[in-house]
Amino acid sequence: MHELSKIRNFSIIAHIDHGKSTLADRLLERTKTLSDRQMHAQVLDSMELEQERGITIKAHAIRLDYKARDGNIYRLNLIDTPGHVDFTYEVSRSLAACDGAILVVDAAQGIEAQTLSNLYLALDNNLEILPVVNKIDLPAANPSKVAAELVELLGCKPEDVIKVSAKQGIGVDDVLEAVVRIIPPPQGDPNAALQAMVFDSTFDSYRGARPLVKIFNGSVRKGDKIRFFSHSKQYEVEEVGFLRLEAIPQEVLMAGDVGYLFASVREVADTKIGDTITTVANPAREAVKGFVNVKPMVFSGLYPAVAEDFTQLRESLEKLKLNDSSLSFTPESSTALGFGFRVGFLGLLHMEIITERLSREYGQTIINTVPNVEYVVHKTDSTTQVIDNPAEMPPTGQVEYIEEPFVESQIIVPTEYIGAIMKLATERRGEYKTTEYLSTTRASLTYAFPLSEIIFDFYDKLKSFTRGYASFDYGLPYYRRSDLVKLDILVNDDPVDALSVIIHREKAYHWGMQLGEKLRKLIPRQMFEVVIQAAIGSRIISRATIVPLRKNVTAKCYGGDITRKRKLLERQKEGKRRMKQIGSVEIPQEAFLAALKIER
Amino acid sequence: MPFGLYLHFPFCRNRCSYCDFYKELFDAGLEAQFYDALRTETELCAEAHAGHDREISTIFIGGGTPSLTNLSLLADWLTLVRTLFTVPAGIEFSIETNPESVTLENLTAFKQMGVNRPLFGIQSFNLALLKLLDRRHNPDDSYRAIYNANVLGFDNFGVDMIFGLPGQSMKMLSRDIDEFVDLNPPHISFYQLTVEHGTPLARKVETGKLVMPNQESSMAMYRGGIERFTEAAYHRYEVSSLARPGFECRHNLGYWEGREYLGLGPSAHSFMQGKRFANLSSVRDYLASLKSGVRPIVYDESGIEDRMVEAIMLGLRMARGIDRHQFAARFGRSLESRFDPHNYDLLRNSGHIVDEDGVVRLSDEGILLADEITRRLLK
Repeated sequence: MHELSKIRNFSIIAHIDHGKSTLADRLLERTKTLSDRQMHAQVLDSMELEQERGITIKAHAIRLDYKARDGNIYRLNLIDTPGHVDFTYEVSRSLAACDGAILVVDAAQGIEAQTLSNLYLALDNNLEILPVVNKIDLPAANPSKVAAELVELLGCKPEDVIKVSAKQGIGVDDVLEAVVRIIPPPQGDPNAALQAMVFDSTFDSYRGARPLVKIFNGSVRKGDKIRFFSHSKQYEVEEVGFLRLEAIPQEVLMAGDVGYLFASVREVADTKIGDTITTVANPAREAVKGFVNVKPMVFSGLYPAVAEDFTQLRESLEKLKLNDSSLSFTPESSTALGFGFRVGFLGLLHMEIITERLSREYGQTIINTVPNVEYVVHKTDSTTQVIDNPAEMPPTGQVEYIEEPFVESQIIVPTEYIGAIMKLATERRGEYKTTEYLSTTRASLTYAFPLSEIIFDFYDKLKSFTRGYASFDYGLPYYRRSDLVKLDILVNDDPVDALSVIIHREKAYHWGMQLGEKLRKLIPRQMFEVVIQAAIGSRIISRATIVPLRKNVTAKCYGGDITRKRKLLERQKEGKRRMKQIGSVEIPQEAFLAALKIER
Repeated sequence: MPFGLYLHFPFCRNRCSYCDFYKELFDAGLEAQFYDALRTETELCAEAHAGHDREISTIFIGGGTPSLTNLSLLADWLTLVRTLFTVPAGIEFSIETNPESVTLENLTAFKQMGVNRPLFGIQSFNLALLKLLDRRHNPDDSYRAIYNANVLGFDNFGVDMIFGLPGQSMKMLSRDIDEFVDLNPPHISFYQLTVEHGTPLARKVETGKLVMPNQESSMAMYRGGIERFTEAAYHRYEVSSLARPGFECRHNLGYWEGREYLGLGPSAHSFMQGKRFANLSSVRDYLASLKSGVRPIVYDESGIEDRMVEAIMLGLRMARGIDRHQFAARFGRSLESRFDPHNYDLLRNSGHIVDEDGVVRLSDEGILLADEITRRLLK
């Protein structure tokens, strides 16, 4: 019996480590959704990488059947959301599938920027908020203080804040009851035209893309001919169902339901997050609002360490793309690194995940170039050019001015660190906007930052400047004019294209000096003197030299053991294969990777 | 084609701090067993060699410290070699010795066995440096050994000289060179101390107890040494080998020019009938294998591509270089086809490589960087 009043769709929003996964575990446990055997810790974060990083990269949805104190059985759909600034859009779509959200705040840490930004996303989607203070068992916990912060923030009553220790299992039943009592059931007309919004999609190598959908209106079942709003391809539904730890097939998904469907969609890219599915026979008039075609924000050149692995790299990227629609790549070539790809990522974390997966799952050793954002170059002939690779930068004489993406960002920090934040923000070309006091001890600072300044090690810096107390989030980018230059690295007068960067003029000198110094240490002595220069156009801004090799010859040839000497040579040659030669200079991989570690 | 014969005598009185050649501490009982096994090995080799040229071109006994050997056991083995193979009279026959174990008696015996080229591991005349190397001899032992060689009328002999030791100054090197030149040996191995992994010396360098000279000073020592020896009418025919004209080591040239050689004894290496193989290095394994009548060999499965790499690698170490015609005749491929053209041009333009009259060789500058150049030059 499909009764909307017995369905609750909700998610849990929390800052990293505030206990979202543990609480989710407890909810599954109390509702006996999984067997003990399946109940291994933090089931929601299933990807190995996700577990290690302690963040959820891909959202999932799991159905819980809960017998409430009123005697009724409720169908609770817990929708998990990714917890990182790189994935703000994905979070917003997951939240759009919900009617309420449990807002979890650590009783010792209090509200963080990520909590806030996700809360705002939840409020934008008109979700009912269920405030929870977690970890009340911790010695450092201050539940009443944090509860007061929540009351202040949400305008709720103090008794509405549920005090929980997910770890100890305290208060979990109260949370389940509150979900039923406070979060409204979904709306929707099962007899209307189908509107199913995709909020996540994974890939099954046998059956193709498996989008997770929330049915806003209508119903969908096996055999239905469907289409997406964002493209014209049509498919036939092969299976619908909902998720526990496994997929559980159903006859039909109806308005209010959350579930998955298979329709032989070959690529995840065709099941874009936020897109709406409808039927071909009785199409809905309009899509569910909020769809954005997500564009990559960070670009980097990915090259195989060994040239012969190019084809393999392409195949690996194609496979990753099958279940990661936000990944984009186009072939490019570099005189230094040979053939590779310009790959677009949602953010730096996304880039790290992709490069790690390439190495772990596909055994690829890759060199990646310094990541950059997308720039808009306004040329003297009044045309504009969008570039995502420093190599594409037109010669200085043709450039009128350059625009770069900026973002509005929010930093939440204990008040004693405001000074430290201001210092860091200045270093990163931040533009101060406002300060709001969340309480007497915590403030929320708003800055505009060039995106390029925060996609690197900004978050780590922020943490170390504030002993881990600051949290940070940012919104969608917009373009503004900046004084940017292209900085080239020359090795014995030959430019090393893979080391070029686009950088603010005031930072170019520091960057060039640092990179030159690192290269000087990493490039081994060669047969010839090596001069490393950093240059803006034809102007040299820094210079470092590597003295030539003086003597490199094996003394004795080990009697008749020619094999040993040859094997030694082979090992050296293997090393050479992994070196990149620019003119007469051999540059090891580490030199390229060093550029990734330059302080901004 | 005649082949070179190498014997590895695997015993020493003590372990020198820098040596990573295979050896056991000397023990007369073990030595007797070794010679038993060696006889078996020699017989098995002769069987395996049936149908091929039995002529031996050179003999070289290395080690270890061959001057410690029981003389009659060595003589018996040589008799066996002469029965199983053809050993023409007067072929180059070298034996390595340590000065402290050289006596008029054993040198005389060696001469009677056919040795015509004793080699003396003098290394240095500086006591402090000898101590650093854990060498047991003193300069007097070295003088006496050479004196004995002269008394016995060896007109060909060689000495080993080492340089680039921790704490060695140019002045110390210069004094050593004077001593060596004074002795007037027909052959000098002038080689730089190499820190081999796993040796006591390596441990001292790793822990910072000893500091090896930097590239600049080892280059200065090598260059300085070569200059002095050249003035004294020695000719550097290979990176670390100097000789009076006509006194080059034919046995070693055989290794470097790709001729065949048979190595007997633990850890000895062979190149026979186009294949490289090596004996097991432990004396116990060697003895056990031969006791059961099996040659203790492990093949190196490399093929013609590797032979070409070797020919280039070894050819560039020699003053005479690599002859294009000989290379092409031996391998059926051009020397050019093995080179990285970009680096070849680079190295020729920079003067590191000389390519004239059908021969590719390294310049004096180039020899200092032979390893680096070989690596760059090979495709």
